[in-house]
Amino acid sequence: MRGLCKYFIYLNVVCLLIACQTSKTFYSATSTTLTGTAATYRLDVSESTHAVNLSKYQNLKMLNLSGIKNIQVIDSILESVPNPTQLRVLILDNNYLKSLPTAITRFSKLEQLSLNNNQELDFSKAFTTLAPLPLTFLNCQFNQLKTVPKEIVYLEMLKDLNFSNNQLELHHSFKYLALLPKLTSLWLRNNHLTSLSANLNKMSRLVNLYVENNELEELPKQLEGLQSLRILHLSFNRFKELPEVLQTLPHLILLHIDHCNIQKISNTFSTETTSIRGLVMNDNQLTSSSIKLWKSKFKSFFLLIF
Amino acid sequence: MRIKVYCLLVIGLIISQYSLSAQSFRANGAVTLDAKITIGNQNVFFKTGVSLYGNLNLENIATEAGVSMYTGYLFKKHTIERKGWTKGYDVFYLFGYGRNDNLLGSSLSQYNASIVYEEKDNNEFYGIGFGFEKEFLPGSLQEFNQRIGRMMMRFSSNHRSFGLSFKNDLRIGGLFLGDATDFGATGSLYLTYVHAQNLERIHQFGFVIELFTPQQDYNRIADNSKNSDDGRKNVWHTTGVHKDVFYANSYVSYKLQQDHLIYQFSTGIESNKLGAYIQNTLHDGFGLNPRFPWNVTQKNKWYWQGELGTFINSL
Repeated sequence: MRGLCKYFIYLNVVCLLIACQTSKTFYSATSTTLTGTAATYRLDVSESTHAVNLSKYQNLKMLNLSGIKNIQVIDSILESVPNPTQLRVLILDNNYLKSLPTAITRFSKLEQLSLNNNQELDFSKAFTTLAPLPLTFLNCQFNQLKTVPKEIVYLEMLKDLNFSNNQLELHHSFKYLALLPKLTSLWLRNNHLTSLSANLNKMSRLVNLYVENNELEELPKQLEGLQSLRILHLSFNRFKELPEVLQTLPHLILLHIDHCNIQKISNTFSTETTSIRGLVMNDNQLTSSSIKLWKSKFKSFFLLIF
Repeated sequence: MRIKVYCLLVIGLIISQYSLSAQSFRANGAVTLDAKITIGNQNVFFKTGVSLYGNLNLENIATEAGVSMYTGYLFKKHTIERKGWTKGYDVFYLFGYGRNDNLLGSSLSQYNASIVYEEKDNNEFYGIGFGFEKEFLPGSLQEFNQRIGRMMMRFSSNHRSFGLSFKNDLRIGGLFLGDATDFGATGSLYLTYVHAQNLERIHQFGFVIELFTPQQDYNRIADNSKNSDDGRKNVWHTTGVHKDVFYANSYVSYKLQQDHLIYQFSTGIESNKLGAYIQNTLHDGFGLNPRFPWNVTQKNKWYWQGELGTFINSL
C-alpha cells in the first residue's frame, strides 16, 4: 500500500512537471516586442529587418524568426540567445533560406523546427546539419518538394513530420520514412496525390496519418503492415466507396473520410470486421436510407458523424 | 429505443421498492419535489422538478437508481445570456456490494436536487454504474442539447458517502450513452463527499472539473493554428452561433441541506489553460484528435455560483 502511495505521488509530481513545461513552452503569452525579461518564454521577432540582441532572454522556449529573409541577421539573432539549451521550438518560415543558419547547432535540445516556405533550401544538406539535434517535430510545408531526401533518416528522433502542401511523389519517400524508428505522425495534406505507394505498408510504427485534400480514389491493396495505425484522416479526397482495405488495419480506431464522393459502403463492414470505433464521413454521396442503415449498424461508435 | 428501455428499467426498479415484500429482499424508495434559484457568473436560472430514488438489496448485492425530471426558466447558461424555458431529465443506476438502503445514492443526482437520507443501521455500499442526462435548451442554445453519458462510483459507510461521476457526450458500448458528438458540455468530473448529520441536516462537499467547447467544423480541415503547439497538432476550426464559447471550470462547492432548505455555494477558477491541458492530453493520447482551439493565453477568471432551494419529500 505504501509503495502504491509512493508511486501515485511520484506520478502526480511527474504530471505537474510536464504540465509546467507545456505551460511555459506553449501556453504562455508570446512577446512580440523586445521589452521582455528572463521570464519571457516565447518570443516572436518575425519580419525583423535588423539583428536584435536577445541576451536578456535567459529562458526562451520558443523563438519565431519567420520572414526575416536574411540569413546573416538570423544567424546573428541565434548567436545572441544566451542559454541555447533552453530553446525547444524554433520557427524559420518564409525566409527563402538556401542553407540553414550555422548557429542552429547551438540549440542542442531543440525539439521542434519549422521550415515552411523555404523553397530554395537544400533539404539534403539541411537534414545532415540537423542530424545532431534531438528534433521530434519537423514542419516542411510549402516547399515544392517532390521527394523526401534520403538524409531524412539521420533525424532518428523524429516523431511528427509534416510534408503537407508539397508535390511529393511518394514511392521512394515512404521507403526512407519507414526507416525513421520513432515516427508516429505524418502529414501529407494537399500534395495532389492520386495514389499512395505500396511502400506505405512498411510503416509499421505509424500511429497517425493525415492525407486530406488530395486526389485519392483508392488505397493500396495491402495495408495490414500498418500495424500501429490508430488515426487516419482521408477527408476531401475522391473515394467512390469506403475502401474495404480499411478492415485489414488491426488497430485503426478513428477514421475521418468526409467530403469525398462516397456513394457506397460495402456490406462487409460491420463492428466485427473493423476496429474503427469513431467515424466522421459527412458530406459524401450516400443516400438518406443508406445513412440511416449505417448509423444503425455503427450505433455503438463513440463518435459517429454522417 | 435503448434509452427508453433503460428508463423503464430504472423506473421499474424504483417502483419495485414499494412492492417487493419477499424476506430476502430489502428495498427503500422516496420521491422529492423541489424548486431552486441558481445565480452565478456562468449560469442564472430557476428550476423545479420531481425526483424518484430507490434501492434494492438481495443479500449483499445492492442496486440503486434515480430519475429526475425538471422544468424551469433560463436567463443565462454556459456563460451565454439567453432567456427561455428549459426542461430536462437525469437518469442513473448503480450496482454493487453491501447493504444499501439509506438512499444516500440520491447525492449522485446531476439535477442536484435535495439529498434524500433515511437513517439505517450498518449501511455500506461499494457500487459502480451509469447514467445519462439531457437538457432541452431554448433558442440558439439548442445546439448544445446533446445527451450526456455518465459513469459513476459510490462508496459509502452509514451516513457518509463518497461519489465520483465522470460525464462525457461520447458513446461507449451500450452503457455510456452520450450523443457521440464531442462538443458542448463535453467532459466533467465530479467528486462529492456527503455527511448526513441527521435526517434534517446534511452537508455535501464537492470538487468539480467541467469542460465546455463549441461545435467543431466538420466542413474544414483541422488546421487551426490556435492551441496547435506551434503547428505540431491538428486543431479544429469551430462553427455555430456560439463558436467562441469555451470554458473550463475547476471549483469546490459546499451544500447544506437543513429544514427543507438547500444552500449551496461554489467557487473556483475558469481557466482556458486548464481546459486545453486536460482536453489536449485526452485528444492527443486517446486518439480523439483533432484538438479544440482553446485560447491558451487567456487569463484565468473567477468562477462562482450560488443556489437556494426548497423541497419536500415522501420520507
